[in-house]
Amino acid sequence: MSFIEVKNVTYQYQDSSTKALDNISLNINQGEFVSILGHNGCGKSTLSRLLNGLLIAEQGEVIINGINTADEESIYEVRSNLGLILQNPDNQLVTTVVEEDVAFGCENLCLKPDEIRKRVDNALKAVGMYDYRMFDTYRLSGGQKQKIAIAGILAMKPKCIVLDEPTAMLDISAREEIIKIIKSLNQKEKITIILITHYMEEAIESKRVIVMNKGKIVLDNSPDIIFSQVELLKSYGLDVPQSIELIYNLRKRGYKIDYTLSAQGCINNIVSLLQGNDI
Amino acid sequence: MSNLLEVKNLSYIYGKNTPYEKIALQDINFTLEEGKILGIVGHSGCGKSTLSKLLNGLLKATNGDIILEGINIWEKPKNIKSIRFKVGLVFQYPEHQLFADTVKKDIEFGVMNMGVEKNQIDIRVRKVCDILNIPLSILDKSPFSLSGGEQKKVALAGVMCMQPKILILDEPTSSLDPLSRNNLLNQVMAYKEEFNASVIFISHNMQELSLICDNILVIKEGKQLAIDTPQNLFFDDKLLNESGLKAPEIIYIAKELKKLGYRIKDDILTVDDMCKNILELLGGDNK
Ligand SMILES: Nc1ncnc2c1ncn2[C@@H]1O[C@H](COP(=O)(O)OP(=O)(O)OP(=O)(O)O)[C@@H](O)[C@H]1O
Ligand SMILES: Nc1ncnc2c1ncn2[C@@H]1O[C@H](COP(=O)(O)OP(=O)(O)OP(=O)(O)O)[C@@H](O)[C@H]1O
Ligand SMILES: [Mg+2]
Ligand SMILES: [Mg+2]
Repeated sequence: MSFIEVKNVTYQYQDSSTKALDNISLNINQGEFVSILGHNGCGKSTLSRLLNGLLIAEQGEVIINGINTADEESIYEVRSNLGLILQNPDNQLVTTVVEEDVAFGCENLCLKPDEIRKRVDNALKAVGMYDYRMFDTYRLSGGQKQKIAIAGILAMKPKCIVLDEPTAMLDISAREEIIKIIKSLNQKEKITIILITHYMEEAIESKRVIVMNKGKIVLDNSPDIIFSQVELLKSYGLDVPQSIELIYNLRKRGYKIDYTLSAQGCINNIVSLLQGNDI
Repeated sequence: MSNLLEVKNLSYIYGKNTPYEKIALQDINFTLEEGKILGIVGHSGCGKSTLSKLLNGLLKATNGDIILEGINIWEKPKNIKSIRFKVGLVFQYPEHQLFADTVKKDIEFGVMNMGVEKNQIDIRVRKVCDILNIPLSILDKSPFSLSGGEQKKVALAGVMCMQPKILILDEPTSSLDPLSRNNLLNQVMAYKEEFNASVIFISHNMQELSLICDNILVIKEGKQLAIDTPQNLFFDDKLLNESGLKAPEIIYIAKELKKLGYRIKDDILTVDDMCKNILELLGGDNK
């Protein structure tokens, strides 16, 4: 049994004429690091809301750690197993002071006050916002709010964290920090990570990439295989990192150069190509 | 070329003389010519959104002046509304901008307030939707039932319909998919050409800034660190270090290959530039 089981789920919003999700099936095991890519409106956020029971499938079922999200009695257990960081941090921040906000989820878990204190401090340090713990949330900049929302979920230590475009508003160093935090949660604490993103270079950091298109899952594979299908990705409204685009352009002109996922790999392969040309 | 906009010694303090006093901007100076695109970058909280609100008169500077077409925007405070028609701002969070019960009404609202004719409005709306890839099927939906990226596009469409002389976009691409992002960049360029307008483009994405900006203003903790062309900025390792920014991947690759002794040009900005350069090396003698 997988930690997350999505079985033939279809979802249509009330005032909508099209299906937001169209017969989706998906299994994710405990400890995986999965990223989800797809064009605007393809259903990523809808899927994330179904996973933590904010929405309930009309057709098909969603089972988290053995619990059906349609089972109202256990919805609380579903949410303590699977934390969702919403796309817009304003919807996530509930109180007016930063540290109260980060503690909010923990308080609902009925933890002891000193345990909460410890977790809140650690979570704030993890996102680099400890100095802002007494700040009013409405005085924060966009990126700062995003970090606070992430800290709030980190402090709850769920088995699985779903992050809906967590780095959209962040600068490069903050984005790299967040991805580092996510990776370490996955590797050290074995927390299952589902990362929804429009940044291809972030998806490369995960072990498995799911591509959605118009409410359906169209690709599900490791990043190296996904990102070598340049034209297919573009047909889904996606893109590839510049290093891969460069390799793609050279291959199109008939040069023998392998795909690689990192900038350094790209440099190495170009050097080999140039040296090979010498001989 | 005449300066459309001049910003002189601009400073802004939130909550002045309260315990929450926060210096958000300090002594910012730049000029913007007609038809140019100015990028603004800097870490979270460095003051970018504050600057955007000062420029269209939503906030009033603690110090310094903003001169638009030769006139201080606060010269007649009663006229500040007309400034907002000339300087259109798309907020960082689109839902702060959306309020009507249908997408169509939302997009039309600003341009309607300007007294533009009804059939003219319809033409503008359709054109902008086409350019931004907004499906006409969502025009009658509530803007609050849209996906994050769709909301962003609707907010943008509303401001573009007003055809402002200066278009300020606060992280416009942050929730767009790559195709929509590329379309938006093209559209911003096209908008600029068509109306000889200027654009201020706030972004954390170095790749897109490198592609569309004539100049980039770098802010660090409220202070102006540099204002320069993308080439000069992204090839300046010292400045990159100091500002905590990173060059786009392709420029990084160019610089590394150069360090290895290959003949790489100094003005590489795009994948195509880099590709051409490598092809030249492959064709001729390389090292
Ligand atoms: N509350 C709602 N009511 C009606 N329709 C909705 C609602 N929320 C989303 N939709 C529609 O459902 C579809 C899927 O939306 P969803 O938010 O899941 O997309 P997404 O993949 O997260 O997009 P983005 O990348 O823009 O965030 C879209 O067409 C959207 O317009
Ligand atoms: N209403 C406010 N009251 C007090 N301080 C504020 C207020 N709004 C913003 N600030 C502070 O002013 C600074 C600049 O904020 P601003 O929103 O301009 O940053 P930004 O560069 O746009 O950041 P981001 O990239 O995260 O959007 C931040 O440190 C922020 O905490
Ligand atoms: Mg979404
Ligand atoms: Mg901002």
